[in-house]
Amino acid sequence: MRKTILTALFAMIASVTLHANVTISSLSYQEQIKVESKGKKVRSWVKAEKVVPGSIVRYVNSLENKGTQNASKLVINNPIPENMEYVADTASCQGSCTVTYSIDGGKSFKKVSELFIGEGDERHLARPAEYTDIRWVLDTLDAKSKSSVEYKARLK
Amino acid sequence: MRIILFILLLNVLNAQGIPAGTKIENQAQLNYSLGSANFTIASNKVIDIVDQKIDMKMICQESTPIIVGVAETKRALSFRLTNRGNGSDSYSFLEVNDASSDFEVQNRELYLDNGDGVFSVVSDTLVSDVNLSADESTTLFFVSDIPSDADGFSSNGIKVHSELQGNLLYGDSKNLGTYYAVMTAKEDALSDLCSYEVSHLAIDLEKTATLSSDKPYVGSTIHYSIAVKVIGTGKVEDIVVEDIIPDGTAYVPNTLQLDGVAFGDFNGTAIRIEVDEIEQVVASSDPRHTITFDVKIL
Repeated sequence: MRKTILTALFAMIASVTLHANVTISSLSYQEQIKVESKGKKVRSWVKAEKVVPGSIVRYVNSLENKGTQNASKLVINNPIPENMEYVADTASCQGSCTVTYSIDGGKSFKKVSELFIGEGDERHLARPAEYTDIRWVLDTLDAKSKSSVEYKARLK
Repeated sequence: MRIILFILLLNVLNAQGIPAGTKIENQAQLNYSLGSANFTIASNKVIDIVDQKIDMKMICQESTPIIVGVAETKRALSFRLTNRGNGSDSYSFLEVNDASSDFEVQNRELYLDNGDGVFSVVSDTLVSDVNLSADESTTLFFVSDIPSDADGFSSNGIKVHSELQGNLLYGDSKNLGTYYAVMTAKEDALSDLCSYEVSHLAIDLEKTATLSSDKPYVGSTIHYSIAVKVIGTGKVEDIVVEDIIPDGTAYVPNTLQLDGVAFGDFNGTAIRIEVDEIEQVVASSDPRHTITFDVKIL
């Protein structure tokens, strides 16, 4: 009994310790264009500040494994914010990953070619604006390393 | 080095968009494994505030030049102002004209339409500024007098300025406290021109409609009135007025009248009235004849 309690306690402590080592942080950006004196345009991504209908916002989720053990089976789910529409082909990741999408609020995720919406005559391949969630799957995130996943969405 | 900052915006078909001040929240969730242990954590919540888009468009609603006669007064050109932003705004106006016009109009005034789309000194109001909600439109009339020596074309119009805009140029923004106002209207959308064309003698038909009910129901009656006017001075002969009955309606028998007296024919698709010659000695915009008839909504 005492051994069982101690084992459980040790597992809980270990869990708490390991949990704190992988973090995810989210930021939003929008494109800025500066026209220099000779007419050259310089594009860059800056922290999103002036978001008006029609604007495109780039969301970046940064991952960091601060621990000493490699993390595996990383699944990042990102609901597309209300009033935003996903911009086609903009979900990506640093390194290697699999990207799927949901059209049912995150209940299921499929590849683009498998996302059908509507019934009967109205059944069609879902448009990117109809996606509700995005999922990235990374096999591993090594100890002491970083990665990121991102996507772009347009404000309605 | 002069740096000009622009915000890259995409055109959207829906001009209004999400209201200014709305919060946009993004938050992701991460599931992962460390050995045999599984973990779930959420990212921070990113909150962006929707800014106000200052966007408006002024367009001329006349598809062709408005035919006018010399010395005519209070002739109107119709314009449509739309608030294409995502918040309310107040607009003031400036009369503009095309310097290449053949003549200059006189006594320029701007009127706000009362909603019927037809200019009337009685029912429309002189205007200096207008408040519009997001995606709201209104009709304005540029009204002026035609000089007695006018000939050819004269292009005139209205330029709009937004109270929120202030001194902002396209791409500029200003902090309103909770969010920014961003100028997204380009210069060429802020004004438009319509044209007068002087005709020394012509017939002008002005048609109005009155509904018998508050809304167009099946069985409602539409009463049409066609004012026959002469532009300029002179004699016009062999005037025939025809008007095709709108789809979805049926002519009400025995309602066709000329100046209040039964006259003319209905041939199954259109009313037809032949009017005697009209001679106009002094230029006037008053109707010389009035044709009326009724149709019923099917």
